[in-house]
Amino acid sequence: MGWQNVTISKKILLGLGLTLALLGLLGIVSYMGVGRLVLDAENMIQGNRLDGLLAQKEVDHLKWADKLLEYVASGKTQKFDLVTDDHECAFGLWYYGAGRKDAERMAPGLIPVLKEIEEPHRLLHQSALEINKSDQPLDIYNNKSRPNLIKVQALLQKARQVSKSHIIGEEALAAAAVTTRRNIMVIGLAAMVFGLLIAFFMSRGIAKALTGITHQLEEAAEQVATASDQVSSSSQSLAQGASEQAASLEETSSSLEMIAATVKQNTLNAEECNRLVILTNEKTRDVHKSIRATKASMETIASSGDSIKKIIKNIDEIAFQTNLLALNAAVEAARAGQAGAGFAVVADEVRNLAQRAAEAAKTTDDLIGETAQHIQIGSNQIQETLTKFYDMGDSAKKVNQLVGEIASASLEQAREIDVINKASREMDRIVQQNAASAEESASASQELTAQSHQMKGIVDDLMTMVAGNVNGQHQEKNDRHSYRHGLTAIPQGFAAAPRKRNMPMHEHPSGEVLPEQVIPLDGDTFKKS
Amino acid sequence: MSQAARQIQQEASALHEKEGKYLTFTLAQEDYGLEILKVREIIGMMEITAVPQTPEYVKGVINLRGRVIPVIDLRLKFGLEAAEYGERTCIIVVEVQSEVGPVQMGVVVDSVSEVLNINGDDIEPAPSFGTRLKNQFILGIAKAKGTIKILLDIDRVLTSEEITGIDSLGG
Repeated sequence: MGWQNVTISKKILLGLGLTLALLGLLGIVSYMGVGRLVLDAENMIQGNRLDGLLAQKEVDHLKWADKLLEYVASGKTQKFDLVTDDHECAFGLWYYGAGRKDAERMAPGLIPVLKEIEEPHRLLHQSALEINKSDQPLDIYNNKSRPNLIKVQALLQKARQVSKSHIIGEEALAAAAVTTRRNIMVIGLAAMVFGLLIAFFMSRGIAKALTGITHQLEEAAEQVATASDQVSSSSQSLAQGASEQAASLEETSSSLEMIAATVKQNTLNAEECNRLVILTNEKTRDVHKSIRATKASMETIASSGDSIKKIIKNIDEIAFQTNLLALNAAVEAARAGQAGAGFAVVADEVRNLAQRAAEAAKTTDDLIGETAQHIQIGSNQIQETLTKFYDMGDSAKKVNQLVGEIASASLEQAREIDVINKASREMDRIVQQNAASAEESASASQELTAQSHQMKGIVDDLMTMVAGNVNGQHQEKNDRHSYRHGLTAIPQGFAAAPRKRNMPMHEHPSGEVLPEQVIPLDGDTFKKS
Repeated sequence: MSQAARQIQQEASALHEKEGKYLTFTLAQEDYGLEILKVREIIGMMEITAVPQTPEYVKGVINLRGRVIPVIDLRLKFGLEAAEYGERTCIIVVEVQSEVGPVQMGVVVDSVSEVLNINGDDIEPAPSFGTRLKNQFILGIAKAKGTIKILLDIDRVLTSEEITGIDSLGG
């Protein structure tokens, strides 16, 4: 049905419009009925007046005829004061004036009758003139005046009848009034019934819609309440977290200060290290010089050894020659036979000496060779040492560079730590702000909770207003109580409201509350539409 | 039997005759001995003038105090491997008996050791085999100081047609 989708305002507008239209119809019908009654009454009054007028004119003419007859009877002795012009008499004035037109408009049936009356009326008044002039007035009266008079009289009678036929009678008027009253009553009753129906359906529709809405509102209010409770708790925890953060930040700040001190110490140490490295470098250079000198000395020793070797070679050579000589001597001695025996002994001795000299030279040579070998090893070792020394020098250079880098890095670190310090201060400030904001938000959410409870109360009120007694009646009562007081002091209200809600129903043990008790409104306000 | 005994006797006496002083020298790590009376002189290595048209072991001639003496390399003569001459290399000047009379010749040896007195008991005859050298070059095998020394019969070593040939080198 399309009725459900029509907005409430349109419903109300439609219902009220229909009702008003019915009221307007009733008014129009009443007005028209009464208006016709009034018209009929006016018509009746006018008809009566015309009838009277026509009767008067009839009588006037009868009187005029009597006077004419009297004049005739007197033998014209009497003063002649009769109206002779048919336009001048009272009837003539009416007939040729506005009166006749009004009458004709009122009763169109009069037109032929009134036209017919013109000729006899003229002849009647003309007869008077003829009587005045003639010698035989009685004849003229009898022949002319009398028949015309009768004719006029008859026509007037006819006109009266015609006019009467056109005039509404009193019974008819009464009957019309009764009809009008009946019509008004019928339409009014119909309008009432229709209006009641519209009111019933409209109120039912509106109440249905409102009930649905209030249910939704109630749910929403409850959801808002729970949500705001959650928001409250979360913002409280947020506030707590913010304060914890602030504490952590303070710790961080102190740690940063410690780090800064350490970094400063590092910088100093690095500089000291740099100085020491430079010193070490210088010493290393000295050591390098010494090593080089040692190497030179060893080379000298080696060359001396070579010289010694040459000498020893010489000695060996000499020993060899001596040996040869001794052998030659021995050969000579042998050749000499017995005589050379002594000489042979000497030669042998000499040979022995030469042998020993050669041996000694050989030993010395070996020793010198060993020494040379050792010197070579030493030289190699020194060479190695030198290489290592060069490596060490490179390392020292690297160490120097690294230490310098460490020093500059420490400075940079110190600068960065300053920046971090600043940032942490800023963070501290922001965290404080956050804490404040969280607390504010906590209180705001508490307020929101209170407001949602109030809203729930209002919704319950609305429910009661719409649907009458509902289940949440007592709760609503309490809530209403709470929100009325809660408006002044919200946090207390927020704290008090849930407690009150859970309280048992002391105020209304019966559990029955009429909507009239809740809403101090007259029931007629809703019934009438 | 007695003839054999007599031969042994003769040989023993011949060996006894070989008792005396020997000049020992080394050649390719082996010790050799020369009868000292054959030796004229021992000299160190000196310049050798090569002589063409001579066998390989004839190294040439030397000028020894105005005398021209042919020199042979004993290593090459014995068919041993040739060796570089070093500081210890010596030339032993010997006097050999040739068909044309005594001839002085230089013998190149690795080194000269000493003059050794060898008893006849220590001398044994040359074995019929077991050595590279021909038997006729060897006087005997001497045992001295725990080692073996081959005693050379230098006359036989150097008396051959070559010697005769080279003898003409020395005037």
